[in-house]
Amino acid sequence: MSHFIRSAAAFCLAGSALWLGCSHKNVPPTPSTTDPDTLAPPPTGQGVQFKSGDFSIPPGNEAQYCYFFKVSDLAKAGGLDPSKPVNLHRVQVAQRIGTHHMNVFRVRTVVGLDPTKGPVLSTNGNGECFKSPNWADWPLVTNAQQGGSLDWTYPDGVVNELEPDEWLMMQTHYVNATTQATPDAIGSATVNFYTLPAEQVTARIGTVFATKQSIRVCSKNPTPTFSGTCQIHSPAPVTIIGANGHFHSRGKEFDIFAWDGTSTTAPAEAQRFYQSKAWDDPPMLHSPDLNVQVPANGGIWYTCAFEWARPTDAVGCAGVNAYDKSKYMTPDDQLDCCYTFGGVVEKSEHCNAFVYYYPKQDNVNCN
Amino acid sequence: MQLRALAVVAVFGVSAGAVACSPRTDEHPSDAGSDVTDEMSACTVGVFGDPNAAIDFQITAPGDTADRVLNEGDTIGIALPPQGGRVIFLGVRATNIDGCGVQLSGALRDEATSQVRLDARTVNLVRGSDAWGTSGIQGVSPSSQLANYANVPVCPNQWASTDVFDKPFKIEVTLEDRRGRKATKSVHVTPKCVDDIQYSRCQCICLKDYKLGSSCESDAGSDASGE
Repeated sequence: MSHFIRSAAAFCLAGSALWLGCSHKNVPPTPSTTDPDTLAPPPTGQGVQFKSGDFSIPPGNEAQYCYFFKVSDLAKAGGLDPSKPVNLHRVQVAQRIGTHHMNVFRVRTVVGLDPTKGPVLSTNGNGECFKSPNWADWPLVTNAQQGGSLDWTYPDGVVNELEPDEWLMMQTHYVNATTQATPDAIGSATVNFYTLPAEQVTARIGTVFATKQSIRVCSKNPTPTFSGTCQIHSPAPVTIIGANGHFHSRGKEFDIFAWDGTSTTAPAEAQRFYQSKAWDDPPMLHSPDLNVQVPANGGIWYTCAFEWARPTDAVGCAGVNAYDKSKYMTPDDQLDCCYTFGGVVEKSEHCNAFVYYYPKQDNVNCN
Repeated sequence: MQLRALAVVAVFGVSAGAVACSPRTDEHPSDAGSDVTDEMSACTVGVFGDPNAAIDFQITAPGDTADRVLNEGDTIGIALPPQGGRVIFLGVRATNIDGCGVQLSGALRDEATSQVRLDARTVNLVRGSDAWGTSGIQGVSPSSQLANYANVPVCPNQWASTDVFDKPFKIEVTLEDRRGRKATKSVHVTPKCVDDIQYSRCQCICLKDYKLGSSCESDAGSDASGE
């Protein structure tokens, strides 16, 4: 463990400087890959690249690292005008095997994660990079999961406009434990953002990050489902062009439906546009294959179905009960080996939906 | 997080001294007539009432020491849950139903626009002293059993045509047992900001046309997000 901390600390010093600009080689965009080292940056003036660099994940550990990048710095390094927005139109993500998730957020209210202070490295559920209130109002930019890679070009004219003075946070979560392993004990993520000239922009993309936080998966209620909704407050229909669901190893089925905003029962099967039955290999659906219109003031309905399983020996019911007690103050006589909401894969669960749509709306409400 | 949980307790004004009927001391046989296997389930709640009769239930909300039945025109407290935002907690008191693996769906509807906020989840009902199963355990703090209720998100108010507090809304609750039998009921209630500490923020983020990020005088209890 001490070696791990030293490695992480050493990387912390380097991490803040690991944004990279374009290559001067005039090469075509690199296909998606799970080897971050081979993902070429966009050609000069066409985009930006940022990366974590390698970090170690010793066996039995989970690491969640938060790296920060200022948009204008990235633009300058990529040969773009640092005083102008970066119009994100194509995203590429490459991650080494062992990744659990990688999210990029736009920094808003600063609580426990200050981008000016450099990367924050947290392990095994401890530390500011594991505390969700720290990014409570930070909009999602892009995400990838255990598949590692992503190469997605938005529809013609659609961009995510990133302002020069904005900070981005790349949060990468690696697991090298029982339910998931990192074979080489090394994590790494690289992201490319390709831009679109301002005169070609016709619409802005909106993102939805829904988290069902009041979940409990318990031995005496072993096959629960939890459903929630997101309303996209729009006077006209919007088009969903990206979606993926995220839960941990007790998750059995993740469904996302188009929702009319007024029904209180689950939408019909015909309205379902996303399904995941593999917690460790969730599909990342996106355009052009995914193109779903939802009505004005409608949105999404998402459902997570779980099946309780005995915790790993390393955690045990004592471990999940302790987490339940410390986080939710659950009294002893109510403990039931329950997995509750949390980012630690081995002892907690998630029910998170990531949805991308356009045109962007200001008011989106999820539960 | 502890502050949030305490805030929930404050909303309900829970008394810790109440005498309870523990479900673990009054366990009944599992539903032998169920066509759903219990291979994994350790749920021993069993059946309430006559499993062949139509499901009957009342809509409830957590009270000080026990669930409170919601009647037409009642008020309901707007609570600060651990997950952030503001919710109303909706439960049931039900009979003629298998108490294990019940699908509970709770919703708050703005009848002017038909827009709705909802939460649906699988719960086990709790056996009390009669043939009715309840969402809450009598005498136990609601803050330790919030997952037994529908956590219906009502604020920030980006959806209703009026303020969410001090105005009438329609509550809709649906129960479905493991055999797929359903029952739905509704009642009109008036949500209230009730917690002293969070009162002003509740009244701010539950206002009509509240915009995310708008400043409120008291900034405690801001929304949570995912990990």
